[in-house]
Amino acid sequence: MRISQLLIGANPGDAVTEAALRLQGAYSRIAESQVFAVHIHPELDGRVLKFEQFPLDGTPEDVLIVHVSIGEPGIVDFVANCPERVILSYHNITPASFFESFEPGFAARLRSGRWDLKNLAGTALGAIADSAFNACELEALGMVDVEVAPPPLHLDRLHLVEPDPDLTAHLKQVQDPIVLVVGQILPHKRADLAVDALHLLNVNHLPGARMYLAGRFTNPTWSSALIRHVESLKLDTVRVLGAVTDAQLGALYRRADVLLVPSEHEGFCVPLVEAFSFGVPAIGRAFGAIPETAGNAALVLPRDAGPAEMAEAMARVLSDRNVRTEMGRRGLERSVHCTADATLGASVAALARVLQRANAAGLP
Amino acid sequence: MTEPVDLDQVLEEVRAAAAHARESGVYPDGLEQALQSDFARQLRRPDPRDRIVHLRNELERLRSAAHIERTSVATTSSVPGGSAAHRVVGKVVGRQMNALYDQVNEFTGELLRVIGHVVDGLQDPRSHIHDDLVQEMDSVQDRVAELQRTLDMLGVSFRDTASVMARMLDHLNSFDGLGSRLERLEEAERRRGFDPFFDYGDFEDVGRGSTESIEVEYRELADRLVDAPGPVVDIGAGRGEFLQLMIQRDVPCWGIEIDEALVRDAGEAGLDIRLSDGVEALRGVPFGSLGAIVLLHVIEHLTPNELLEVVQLSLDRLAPGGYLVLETPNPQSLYVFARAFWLDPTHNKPVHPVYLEFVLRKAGYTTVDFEWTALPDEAERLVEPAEDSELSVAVAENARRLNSLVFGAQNYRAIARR
Repeated sequence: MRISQLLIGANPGDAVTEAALRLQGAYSRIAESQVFAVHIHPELDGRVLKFEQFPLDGTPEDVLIVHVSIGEPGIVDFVANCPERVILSYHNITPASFFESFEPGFAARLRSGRWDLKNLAGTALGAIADSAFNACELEALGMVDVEVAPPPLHLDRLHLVEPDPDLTAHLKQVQDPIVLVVGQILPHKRADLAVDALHLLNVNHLPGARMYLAGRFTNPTWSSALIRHVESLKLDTVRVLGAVTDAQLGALYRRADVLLVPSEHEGFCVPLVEAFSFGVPAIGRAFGAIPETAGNAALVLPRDAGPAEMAEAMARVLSDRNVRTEMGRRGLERSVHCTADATLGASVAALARVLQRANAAGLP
Repeated sequence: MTEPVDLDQVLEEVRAAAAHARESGVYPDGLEQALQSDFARQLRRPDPRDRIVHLRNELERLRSAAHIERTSVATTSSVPGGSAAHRVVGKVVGRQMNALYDQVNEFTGELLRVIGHVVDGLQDPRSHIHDDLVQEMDSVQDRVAELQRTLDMLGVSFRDTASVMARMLDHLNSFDGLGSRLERLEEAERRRGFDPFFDYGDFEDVGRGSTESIEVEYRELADRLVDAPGPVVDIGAGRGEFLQLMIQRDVPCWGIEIDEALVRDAGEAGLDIRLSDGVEALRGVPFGSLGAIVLLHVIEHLTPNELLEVVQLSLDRLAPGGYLVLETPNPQSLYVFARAFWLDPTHNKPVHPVYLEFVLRKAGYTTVDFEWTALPDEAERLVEPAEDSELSVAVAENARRLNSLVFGAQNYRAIARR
């Protein structure tokens, strides 16, 4: 049997790519397994194979897992003609509306991703979704057999790496509370609201509180607007770091007093789990899969919460030791179930269940 | 005792606080919209600094393209004998080419690092101001401020020049005496340090009991550490009794000991005990590499800061699921102070279990358990009479209370897991 995975884009540090590669490691123990992608970052050459190299001698015994994230011309036809048993792995597609006004080309690709998803849902035997939120979207498209399993996480990459010494030394000198925001600088992540919230926190509660934003400048227009916004507000308490290494992120989580997730769309929300594993209390808003990822461990504000609510929430967590301790404790408890082995095992088991049910139903 | 925390309640209070702040004008009408308008304006405005972002993207691309791969010389040829010639050339130049690849890759890596720093610097000029320079500037500012104060003083009380001069002379005199004061302080510090004229290991033999009794005491703990996810390190390994127990169970282990004579004896006995300070030795261990870190009767010798450092360093050095075991005299038993704790002149302070649990949880250990060991001999505890009358019930209850306070377990053991 062969278990192949197909990605649209493979990039280093990208959560979907990393998940596919870790799953490949697990599948390789039971079958021949490769990861293919249409667009491959040069750093991943060799680890991820070109779409053109996809073997055309597949059989109905083989399995093809399609990771759906963005539109790609021709992918639906290709999958529809594959003899393999097709399973979707759904990490969600960012709604195009976030990009419509200033990046219409990218917005169009996101829209075509949704169209692809709808068509692929008709071809696949079943699907594995990162969260119940993602599963709901698939079920709304008519998919019946959807398993929910968290993405394969690798929190040890932050815990077992020596924290970056320069950043650690810098953070040690900061006496004031530190708010951490982790995530690519993209419209739906709403780092701009985090900056506004810090401004209110500085003005009304904690003048020295700092904010560190760690995340790749994926969209140059949005990133430079964010940096100018920080300067325009004269916030020397905010640092926009850009992409960080695991060693730097580890150093930030070790020192952070609170994680703020201002995002308006998340298919799972890995930073929440990362913060939990460091005992860092987290504040988010009830968008996408944030509430289910947070469980009872984070302070999840309602969707209409703006910078004022975020500022008040940060002020409360930073000034109330009991709340901070309790949130830290609950986070640690929650992260215990998110080890690399546990999450990888859950994904593999979910695939096995979907295939078993398909066999039992006599599906091809 | 802290009150239980209800996060739903906290959420309600946060919402109420935000609503109140808006109503009372702390967050004036339109403030949040104004903040968002500023961001929208920035989003529309072209900025020359986009070039920095562009530069970063280019740098990322350069990074991914920078590594030059080794490729072997092609050996196919349509010319007769060409393949053989290619192979010969490949053999002749292959080694030099590989060395060249290595040098080029090394140079490119360094170059990219430097360019990265330059881009960082371009974006945030504050980032390349050297710390020493900042400190130097602070110090210069302090000196300027001091001079200013002196000038002010001279200006305001010119007539008191004599007293100013007298004060300056006092300062000078105090400088004069500074050297001898420092010497006196150093001497006092030396006297406070413990430097016995006898071999301290001999005294430990008196205080700690026989090797056999220690092995019996820790057998159960050793059994529990058999499944540790990595090697076991005994800090303050002493004569190596605990390491012997681990070796008997085929668990990879080593020890750290600060006493040179004990380390020498252990070496002769074939034990791997390294001469070092515990904190220093832990610093040198790779992250996440240890299965268990054991400190038996060590933390009561540490200063409060050293204890915190050991707890944090251990968390970093343990593999997930690894154990930190801290055994120390139980300050909740008064018997301990009468019999054992002050017997050792190098004990610094007892560590209370409530404080230790707080520290361990705060540091981020996932579980913290406590065990109470070494109850005083039954012969030493108060007799609890048979409870056959009202009086004897009261006496027995009092005896129980006293036994618990005075004759409680002599040691306790905190077992925390990463």
